[in-house]
Formats: sequence, structure tokens, C-alpha cells
Amino acid sequence: MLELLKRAEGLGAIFADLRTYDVDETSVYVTETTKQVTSLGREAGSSLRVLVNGNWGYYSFSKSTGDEAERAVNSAYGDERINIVFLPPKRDRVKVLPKKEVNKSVEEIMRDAEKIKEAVMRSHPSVKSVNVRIFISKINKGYFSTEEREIEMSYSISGVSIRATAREGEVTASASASLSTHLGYPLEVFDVNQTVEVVRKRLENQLKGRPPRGGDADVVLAPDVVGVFSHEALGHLAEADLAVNGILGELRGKKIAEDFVTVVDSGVLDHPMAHGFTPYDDEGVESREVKIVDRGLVSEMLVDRFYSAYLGERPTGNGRAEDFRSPLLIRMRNTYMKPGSWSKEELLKDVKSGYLLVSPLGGQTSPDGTFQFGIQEGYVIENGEIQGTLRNTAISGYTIETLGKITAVSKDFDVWPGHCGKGGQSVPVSTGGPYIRVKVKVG
Amino acid sequence: MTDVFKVLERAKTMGVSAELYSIRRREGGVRRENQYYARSLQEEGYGLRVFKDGKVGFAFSTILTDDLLEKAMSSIRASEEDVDNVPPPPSRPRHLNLRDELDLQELPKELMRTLEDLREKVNLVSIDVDVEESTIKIVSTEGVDAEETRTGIYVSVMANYKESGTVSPEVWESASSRFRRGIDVDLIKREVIEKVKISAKREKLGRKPKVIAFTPKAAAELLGPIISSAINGENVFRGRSPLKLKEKYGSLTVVDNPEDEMSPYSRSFDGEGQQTSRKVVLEEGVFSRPLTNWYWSRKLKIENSCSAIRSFASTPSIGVSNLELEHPGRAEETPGTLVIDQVQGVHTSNWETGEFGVVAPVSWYVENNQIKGVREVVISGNLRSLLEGIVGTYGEKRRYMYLRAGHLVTEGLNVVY
Repeated sequence: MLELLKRAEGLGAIFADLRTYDVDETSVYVTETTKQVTSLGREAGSSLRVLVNGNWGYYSFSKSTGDEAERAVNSAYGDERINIVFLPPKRDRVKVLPKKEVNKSVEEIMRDAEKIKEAVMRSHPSVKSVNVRIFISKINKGYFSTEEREIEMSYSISGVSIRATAREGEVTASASASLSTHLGYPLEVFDVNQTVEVVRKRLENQLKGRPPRGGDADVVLAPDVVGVFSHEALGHLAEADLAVNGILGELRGKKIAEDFVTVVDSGVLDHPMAHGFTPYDDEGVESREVKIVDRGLVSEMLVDRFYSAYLGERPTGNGRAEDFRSPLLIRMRNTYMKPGSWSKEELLKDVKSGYLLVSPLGGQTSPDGTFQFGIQEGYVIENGEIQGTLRNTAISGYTIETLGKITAVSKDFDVWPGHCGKGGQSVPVSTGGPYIRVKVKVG
Repeated sequence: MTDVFKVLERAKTMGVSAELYSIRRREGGVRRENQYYARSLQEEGYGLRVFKDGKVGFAFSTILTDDLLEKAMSSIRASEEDVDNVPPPPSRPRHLNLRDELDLQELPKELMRTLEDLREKVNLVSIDVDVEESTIKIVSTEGVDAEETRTGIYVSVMANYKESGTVSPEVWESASSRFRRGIDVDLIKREVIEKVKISAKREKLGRKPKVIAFTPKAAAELLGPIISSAINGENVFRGRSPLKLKEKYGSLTVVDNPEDEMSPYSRSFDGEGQQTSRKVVLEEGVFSRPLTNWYWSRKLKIENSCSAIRSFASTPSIGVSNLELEHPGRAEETPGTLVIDQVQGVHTSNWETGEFGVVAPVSWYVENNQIKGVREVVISGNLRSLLEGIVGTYGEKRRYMYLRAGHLVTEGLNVVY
């Protein structure tokens, strides 16, 4: 590996780094009609990046051909203006030991998935179909650079996801829930029965629920929704490659929310479902907490080595790639709103007519600050009391306006796992937060 | 190291049927935002399925080694006996012409250079150009023998209006083809410039529009994923499609056409090595057939549409190739028609019910011969009411990603503004 870097330097590179990636994947999938092993195997490859004549060149490969450095150097192209932050030499080896070693056979994993499927099918008489997926990824990553940085990381991410559909007459309900962790086999870290119960409750609520009235409404957003809002609506705007062309870059240093609103992105978070685990990013940069909004003030952007130099911001460790074949992009890790001092009950009490929105269905944002996401678990609030359930609900709005409309933040806090898509790549992230009270467009 | 035929031979001696999918892929690309990223890639991958006594096993690797078969055999123990777990039938497919002579390193740079002058007209967020060549080979102990080299060119541009504190949504335009002649760079530039201009000044709608027209791009973004899920044979078999077979939903005809050679989603054979062909899935509104792979065609007891898609690291699932939309009604853009060119949030749709709620960041209407940009519109409805509400189409048909359509004119969708 080090020879490759030296060879690149010999060909004129002022900087080169090599990412190595070796992952063992197991994934099983069980439905009411089928069960199959959808993935079982090993994926290994490397990516050599060179900075030559002010331009990036890249060569990613699954099999060595002996001329990787030449290929990377020959691919270089640009306006000869790349400038990056260089880092001091460092050697580190990060090995995350699970609470209990994950050594399940495919048959054992399949049996567990089957049991979960049966539990969901039994949970409600109207359940018609269910998908259960359990996956285990054992990840070994290496990072080596001409700065003499040598970082090796070894950890696993395992998870279970459940999606079910129920039907009563013309009403169809569908609900999902996921668990994921780097602390071990998910069924040994979490009580999966609680997750089955969550799916059942969501199905039942939707079957009984009604669509909301369209328009602006007072809402209380639960930690799961606040986490997705922090990630989708705000976090993406803070990714430096988007921020420089978007609304958040323009607002740096400006006050956009009350003092009790702080949103951060961090590579390491002490929570079992914080699977955006990134102690070092894929550019060998140590992770640090990034305060995107600090007590209501737009503060820092998420940067890679290039944008760190471009914006004059201390490196954050947000350069990530899905695998060896994918180029680096600025990505979030564990993104969350920090808790405040209210109780959940105090937040609900002051809503005369509105909604409690508990669980999202993904979302999307645009650099002009618009966001949209769906809601799979929501309730009607009348005079501070929960009075009914919702179905077919989405919220949307302008992020900056919405942050300014947050009137209370609770002291509760929870975190949920997810996968974030950008530029055709998907990486594990987590999102979290407290309960908040705010006004948004519900539709 | 071993080779594909040795793996099959060993499987035969063990008394199992086997199917080996392999891919060799080369790629070159350039991305430009504030920095340029030039890249190249060369990779291989192998996915092995084994069948025995109604059970199926699978394993994959980036290196073809002898233990791939042992790994696949180990997973067969986790399988459940199912009469439909049988290997796909023998196949030696005819080949379309899906390969162009492309310089994977120089073509991305050439296309990038032709697009870069856009920055003089708009705030350029990013340009992405990728060029690839893949050789896919599928062989089996049952007589599948398919091999094909396919090329693909993918170009996308994102831009917005950004001046004195005003930031418009991103406008994105793209083109993709298996052939260089299928990429119209000038068209991309014209569309980007025109739509950024419209987005620079947007107003809230004053009243609810009676008619909504989806441009080919918006139709691809909204209808593409929702229809793809609804016509998926697994979803139909499991009652997870919002559409019912043989029922009529409006008058739209939807064809899945893998033979459109210009599209990078075309294929001579599917992910199981089976000969592909054009399939009508909705015929004048009637849901005539779902798409299947081999397994789900057996479950549904219908002819296989040969729509298996896969990577080397996964088992075959079902996927569309190119969706072509045709409607008998002829419509026109009347004053006040809300024209939607981009939607966001489609992935939050409920695939089982077909319900969706999307934001339209790029939309406009024409009033007094002037195009007026519109802000903050949410469109919601479900697939059935959307299909039934289409009254006609107008304008040139264009393919965006994997869907080809004209402007689709609809009535009856909910609009929150």
C-alpha cells in the first residue's frame, strides 16, 4: 500500500491517499410467502486518490493490476485549483468490540427473521403482508496517506427492519420500524418485541385514522421526526458542497432561531442506535462535533478536506464514501437537535388544535431551504389532549422559517438509525432529538 | 482463482444446479462543483445461485474463488423448500446493439468542457458526467449462456438562481444513453437556463388550479417509481400493489420496453439471462400484466416478462427497463394550467396504497403570455386517482431516466398552496 503512495508521489502527486475496504455481508429476507438469503459474501476493493498539478485523480479497483498509480494520475482533470487541508502523521487502530461477538449462522439469522415475521402476522388480524430483513455487515476499512497517516478501523453494523401492511375494506395501512447498531446482534442488543408492538400500533392507528386538514398547523414533533427534520431540512443545507450554493451559507453568523435551538452533527454519539459511527472519516480525518446551529445562530458547515480549506473551517470529518468504488462526498453522521428544559406534557398542553407527529417516512430538502417529509404515526391534538389518529400525512415548509417558529424544546432525547442517499450513494446515519413545538404546513 | 465453468462443473458433480452471474465494469467520470473530481474504476464481481430439491442458496464475491460454491451451499440450508425454487430455463438470447466505442477517460472531460460555459448564465451547482462499459455474463448448469457488453453515458446538471440573498431551488437536467449520439448537450443547457430564469422569481399561487400538467421530467420523477412498484409481480402476488389485475384505471397505456437501444436501461437479456421483449402492462388503462422474474412468474402462473434485475452482490429482483406512456387524449396547455417540472419527496410515498404527497420546487403557469414561477406547492393524491385523472398529453415525448412521456395533463389532484 505504501508503495502505491510512493509511486504516486514519484509520478508528480503532492498528496495521495489510499482507502481500502473489506466487508462481509449477510442479509436475509422473510415475507409472508418467501424466505431467502439475499446477500452473503465478501466485497473487497481499494481507491487511490492523487492530487497532481492542482487536480484530483482517482482510481478504484477490486483487483490489483500493478499500474494503479499511473491510472490515478492519468485520470486527473480540473482547473488546477484544488487546495486541501493537510494533516500531521498519525497511526491509529479503532476496533469496536460488540457486547457479544456476532457469530450467528445464516440458518440462525433466518430463524430469527421468521419468528419476527410470525409475531407481526399475529399482532393484528388485518395484517396482510410483512417484510423482515436482518443484516450483518462486518467492516474493515483502512486509510493510508502520503502524510504518513495510517488509520485502520474494524467494526460491525447489524440491524433488523420490519415493514407491514394491513387492510380493512378500502383502507390500507403500512408501517415500518428499524433497529440498527454497532454494539452487536440486534436481537441481543434490543427487545425486538417492542418494535413489533410499534409496528402494530402504527398499523392500527392508520386504519382508524383520518387525513389531516391541509394548511399551517401547530404541531408537536417527536424525537424521531425532529431527528429527520434536523437531518433532512437542516443538515443537508449545512453540507458545504450544497451550502455554498444554498441558503444556509448566506446565513452564517446570523440568528435564525431561539437560544434553545442547537443542532449538531457528530461522528461518535453514545447511543446504541447511533450507527453513523465515524470516528475517522474516509479522508482519515478525526471526527469532531459540528454545531450547525448554536443557540439559534448559524454556526458551522460540514466539510471535507477541500471545503475545510475553501471555507477556512477546522476539519470536521464529514468526507465519506459508500464503498471503494464511490467517490468521497460530504455526508452527515449522527445529526441531532440538543434537548431543552420543557417536559413533553408542557409542550402538548398549549396546543389548542394541532397534531402530534411521532414517526416520519423519510424526507427531502432543497438548497433553497424547502423540505418535505411523510408521517407514518401521528395524532390529533385538541385542547392539549390527544383525540385521534392520523393517516396519509406529510409536512413541508421552509427550514429557516420553521426553525424560527420553534417555541419550545423538551428535555427528552432519543436516536434512530437510517440510511442517507446523496449522489447515488447510501451511508448509515442516525438522527435524533427532543420533542419540539412548532408551526408547519401539514398536508 | 478459478473460472466460471469450473464452478459449474463442481456444482454438477455435487448434484446441484447452479447459475453464475459475473460482471466486469470500467468507468470514467468527472464531477464539478467548487472542486473537480475526476475518477476511474475497474471492478469485477460474481454472484452464484445454487438450487437443490426446491431450495435455493446464494453467495457473492469480488474475487472468483473455489469457496464461493461452498458458501452458496451453506446458505441453501437456510432456505425453505418451495416448488418454485427452480433454476431459470435454458437461454441463448439474441443481442441488441448496446455498445458504443467510447473513450472512458476522455469522453467525460470532453462533455464537461462543453457544459461548463453554463456558469456564465446560471449559478452552477454541479455537473456530473459518467461513462461506463460493463460486460455481463450469465451461465448455468441448465443451459443459460448469455454475455453482453453494454455502454452507458450519464450527464446531469444542477443549477439555481443565487443573488443578493435570494436562492432559488435547484433545477436539474439530465441525459443518458448507451450512445454518444444520444446525448444532446445543447438541449440540457437550454432547459437549465430557461428553468433557472423561471425559478428566479416565484410567487405563491393565488387560487387552486383546475388542471395540472406534468412535464416528461416530472412524470418520470413521480410516476416512474410509483408505477414501477405497482406493476411489480411480487407486489401484485402479495397484494401490495394499489392496482388490481384486469381492472381499468383511466386510459393510459404503459409499456415496458427493454429494446429501446438508445436508453441505458435497455437490455438484451435480464438478470437471469432470459431474452427480454416489449411488454404492455397497462393497456388503455387496464392493468393487463405485471412484470416478473422467473420465480414470481411461476408463483403468478403467467409468462415470465424477463424483468429480473440484480447486482453481483444480490439475488434477482424485479425491475422495469424503459417505461413508455401513451394516452389517447390530446390536450394543450391552457392559460392557468399549473405546469410541474420537478417534484421532491416521492420516496415518502406509500407504495402499497399509491398515496403520495410531493413538493413541486420547479413549477409555473402562463398568464397573459408570461411564464410565472410558482413557490411552495404541495401535490397529493394516489396512483389510481392520478391515472384516472389524466385527460391527455401534449408536446414532444422525451425520455427522462427510464420513463418516456409527453406532458401529462391531469385533473383532480389535491393542491396545497
